[in-house]
Amino acid sequence: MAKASTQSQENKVSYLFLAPFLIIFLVFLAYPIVYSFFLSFQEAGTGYSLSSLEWVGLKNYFNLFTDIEFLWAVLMTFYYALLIMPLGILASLVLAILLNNKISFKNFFRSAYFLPNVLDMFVIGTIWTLIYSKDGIVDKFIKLVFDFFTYDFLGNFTNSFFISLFTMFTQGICYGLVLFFIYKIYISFPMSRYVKNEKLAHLLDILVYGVAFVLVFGSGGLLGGASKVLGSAVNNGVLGTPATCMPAVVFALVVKGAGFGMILFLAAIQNISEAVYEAADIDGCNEIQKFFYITLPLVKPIIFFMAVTGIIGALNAFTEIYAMTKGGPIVTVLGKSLGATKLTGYYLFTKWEQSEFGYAAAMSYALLVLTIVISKVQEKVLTPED
Amino acid sequence: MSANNENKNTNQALAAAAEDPVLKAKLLAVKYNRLITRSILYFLLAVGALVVLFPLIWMILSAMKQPGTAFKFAFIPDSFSYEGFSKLYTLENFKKVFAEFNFMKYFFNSIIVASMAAIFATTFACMAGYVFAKKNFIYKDFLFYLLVATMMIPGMMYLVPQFVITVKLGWFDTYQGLIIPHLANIFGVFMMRQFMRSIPDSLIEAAKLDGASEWQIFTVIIVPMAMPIIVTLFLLTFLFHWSNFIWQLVITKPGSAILTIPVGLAYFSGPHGSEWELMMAASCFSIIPMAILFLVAQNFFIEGMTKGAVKE
Repeated sequence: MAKASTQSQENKVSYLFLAPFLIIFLVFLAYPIVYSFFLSFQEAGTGYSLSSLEWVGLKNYFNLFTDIEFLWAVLMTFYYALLIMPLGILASLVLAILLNNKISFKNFFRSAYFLPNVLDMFVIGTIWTLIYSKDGIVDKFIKLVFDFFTYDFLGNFTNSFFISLFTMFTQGICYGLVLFFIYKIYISFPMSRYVKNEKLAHLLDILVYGVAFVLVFGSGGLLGGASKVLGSAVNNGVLGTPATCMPAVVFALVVKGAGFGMILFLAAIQNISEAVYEAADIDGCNEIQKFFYITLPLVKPIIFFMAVTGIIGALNAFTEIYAMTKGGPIVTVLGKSLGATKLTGYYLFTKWEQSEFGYAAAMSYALLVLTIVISKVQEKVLTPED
Repeated sequence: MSANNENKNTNQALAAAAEDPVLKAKLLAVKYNRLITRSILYFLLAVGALVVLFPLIWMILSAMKQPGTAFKFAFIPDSFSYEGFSKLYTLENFKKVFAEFNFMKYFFNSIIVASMAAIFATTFACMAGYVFAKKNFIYKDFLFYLLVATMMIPGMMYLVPQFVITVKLGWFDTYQGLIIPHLANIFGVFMMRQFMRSIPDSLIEAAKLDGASEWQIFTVIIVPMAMPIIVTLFLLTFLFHWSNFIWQLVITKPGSAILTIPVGLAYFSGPHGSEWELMMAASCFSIIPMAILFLVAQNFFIEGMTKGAVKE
C-alpha cells in the first residue's frame, strides 16, 4: 500500500515536471501530425480562408500524383541532394585531413572553418546573391574565361599582336589537351580488344572515336554547350542560368556547412590509434594507401551520417532557395514552365502562400512517407555489417 | 612527435654529419622536403579559410563601399591615404541603415524572440530531461518512444499544420506566435537526460533525507551540476531562433511591428533591391553579434552541435 502511494506520488511529481514541455509538445508537435492528416482531405473553399475548409476526400492526393510541378520538385530535390552529399563530404574530409596535422594556429583555423555554421542562413544566402549576381565577382570571372575562349585571334591579330599570340597558344594548349585525352582513351580501349575482325575494328574505331570527337568539338557538342552555358551565365548571372543555378546554390551551402562535417571527421580520425598507422608504416604503406585502407574505412560511419542528413536537409531546404533564387530560373520541360531550383520545401511554401492548406498538407504527408522510405533504404544499404 | 622536434632532430643530425658530405646532402634534402610540404599545407589551410570566410569578407567590403559602387571591382585604393580610402569606402551606409531600415526595432525583436524562446525551451527541456533521467513513472517508455519517433519527422512537415493551429489560437503576428510553437525541444530533452544520468543518485537520496522538496532537489542539486550542458542548450536554442527564418516569415505580416532581422531584411530587399551597400550593411549588423557570440563561447557551440550528431 505504502509502495503504491509512493509510486503514485512519483507519477504526480514527474508529470508536474514534464507538464510545460509535454503541453507544448502535444499541442505543437504531436497534434499537428494528426491534424495535418485530416487537413490533407480538406480544401479551402471560397476566399481561401481557414474558416471555409471543406471535405474533398482523396482529391488532394490524386492531384498531387498527377502534378508535374510536384514530381519535378521531387526530382530536383534528389538532384540537389546528389550534388550536396558528395561535395559536402569531400570538403569536410579535406578540411579535416588538413587540420589533422601538427600545425600552429590550429585553433584559429578550426574556428574559422566552423564559424559560418552558426551564421544566419538567410543573410548568408543574400550575400551569395550579391556574389553571384550579374556583374558580381563570379560573373566577372566567368566573363574573363568566356572572353578568353571565344577570343577571335585572327580577327584581332593586327591590333593586339601579343594578346592574340598569347591567347592563340593557350587556347591551342587547352583544346589540344582535350584532344590528347580522347587519344589516350583510344589508346587504352581500341576496338580491336572487343572485336576479332581487324577491318571491322578499325571501322568501329573511326565510328566510335569520330562520334566522340564530334560530341566534344562539334557545334552542339560539349565545348559548344559549355561555352553556351558560360555565355548565358555572363548575360543572366550564375543564378539566372538553369544549368549553373543549382551547383551555385550547392557550392554556397557546402562552403557554409563544411566546418560541421570537418569537426565530426576530425574527432573520428583522432580516435584512430597511432599504432595502426605505425604498423602500416612498417609494412611500407605510403600516405595514399594509409588514407584508403585505414582512415577511410574508419570514418565510414560519419560518411553514412552525412549522407542521411544530406537527404533530410534537401527535403527541408527552404531558406537558401528563398534567399538566392526564389525557385527560379524558369526552364521548360514537356511544355511546362518549371522552376529549376524549386525544391519540395519551396514548392510547399508556395502552396502555403496560395492558401492551399489541404494540398500542402497532402504534400507534407507524401514527403513524410518518402523520408521514411529513404531512411529505411539507407539504413539497409549503408549500415556497415558488423 | 611534433614538427619542431623533427626539425631539431634533423638540425642535430646535420651538425653531427658535418664531416660526411653524402649524409649531409641527404639530410638537407629531408629538411627542405619537409619545409616544402609544410608550406603547401599552410597554403592550403589559408586558401580554405579564405574560401570559407569569403562571404563575410565580401559582405564587410561591400557594406563600406560608396553608394552605387557595390559591383565596381575596385577594392584597393590608389593611395593609402585618407583620400584614397574615402574615394572607395564610406561608413555612411551603416548610419543610413539605422535611419532607413528601422534596424533597432528588428534587432530588438530578434533579441526578444531568441532569448525568451531559449530561456523557456531550455528550462522545459531541463525539467523534462531530469524526469526522464532520474524518475520512474507510468508511460515513461511510451513517451520516450513517441519523442524519438517525432524527432525523425522533417521540419518542413510542420509548416502548414503549425501555422493553422497558431492562427486558430489567435497568435498570428504576435510574440506568442513567434515563440511558443517552438518551445518543445526534443533534442534538448535527450541532451539533458544523457547528462543528468551521470549525476549520482546518492546526492539526491541525501538531499531527500535532509528533507528537501522535489523542487529544491531540482534547483539546488541538479541545475547547478548540469550548468555546462544548460549553457550549451541555451546557446543552441538561441542560435536556432535567431535564424528560424521560415517560421518568422510565415507567422508575421509584411510591415508588422514585430519583424525579426532576417525577415526585415527579406522585405527590405524588395523595394530597395538595387541598394546592395545598404543590404550588406544591414547584414553586418545581423551577423556580427552571432559571430562574436560564437567566438566567445565557441567550445559550447561546437560541442553542442556535434555531440548530437555522433551519438551511437
